[in-house]
Order: sequence, then structure tokens, then C-alpha cells
Amino acid sequence: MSLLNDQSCLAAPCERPDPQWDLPARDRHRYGGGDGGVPDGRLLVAFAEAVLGEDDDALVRARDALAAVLGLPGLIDAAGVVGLFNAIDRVADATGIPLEPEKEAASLDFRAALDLDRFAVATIELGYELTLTVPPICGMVFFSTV
Amino acid sequence: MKAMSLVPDEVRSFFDLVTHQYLPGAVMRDFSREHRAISHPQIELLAARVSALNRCLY
Repeated sequence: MSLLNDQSCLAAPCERPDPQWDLPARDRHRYGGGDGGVPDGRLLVAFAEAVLGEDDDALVRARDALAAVLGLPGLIDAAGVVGLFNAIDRVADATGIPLEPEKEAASLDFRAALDLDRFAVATIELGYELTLTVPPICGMVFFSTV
Repeated sequence: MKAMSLVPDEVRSFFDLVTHQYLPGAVMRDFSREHRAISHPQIELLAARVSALNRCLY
């Protein structure tokens, strides 16, 4: 498999949208709590938030709750996904990878629906105005442009 | 990815992680069955929430 194919595979789920999945669930602070229409979605979201957060007690609670429902294999797989995508985000942002024109066009509608263009990196990559000030997170530095 | 590809071993290591912590490339598009203890939608919800928390555009 070529590198190009590997890259495109990472976006594969986006190419197969399913109306039963609630995309805004992934941005809970804007849209309110939800499970995304995904089984045990609330537990998974709580776990992801706890891993990236700083509340150790919350992490223990989220981890125990997830393990109780999904079992140890489910918890391990969930932790792996959270860890991997946290790394991927950092690599993408730190290296300033441009959003390819075809993906910019293909994602226009759901970027608008999820208000993703408010992310500071969008103001750099796409030239959009930043409409919401967000604090630096996870040691990353963002720049705002108006 | 272009930055990492300057060091080929890093690209290989990256996709080793993808295989073990996400899905092997060969089954990423196989929605006919699940390949991990959590389902495709559960995996993508986790990935999307992490990316949103990191304010990742990509």
C-alpha cells in the first residue's frame, strides 16, 4: 500500500457519512452533550475528555465506567485511539500541513455545520476570520487573525 | 506527512502505530464487520472528540 493510499484511508469514514451519526456530538461544548448516536457514546466522549484533561479523579471515573461497559479490551482500544489521534492532531498542527483543496471543498458543508472554521488554524490555512477566542491547549500556540 | 517522510523510518513507525492503535490500512474501509473491541462509529467518535478538543482542522 502506498503512502498516499494510507493517508487517504485515514479519511475513509468521512467518505461514508451515515445520517444516524450525530456529528455535532464531537463538539459538545458548542452543541451540548450527546452520544453522537453511537452506542456508549457519552462514556467514550467522557473518557476522551478526561484523558486530555487534568482531573485525575475524573479520568479514573471515566476509565472505570468505560471498562465496566466495554470490558478491558474495549478500554484498551479506546485508549489507543485517543492516544493516536492526540498525536496526529499535534503532528498536523505543528507541521502546518495544508488542507488539500479537494478536502477543503469536500468538507465545506460539515465544517460550517460544526463551526470548525473558528479553530485558529483555519484562519491561517484558509484565511477565515476567527470568531471565537480559544485558549492555548496542550502546549500548542495558536495565532488569531482578523 | 511530508515532514515525516523526510525520515522514512518515522513514516513506517507512524503507520505501525496507526495499525495497532487505530486500524490496519487493509480494513479501514471494511465496514462489513468490526475489527476491534470497539466499533467503527465508536472509534470515529473518540477520534473526532479528541480532534475537536485539540481544535484540529484536519
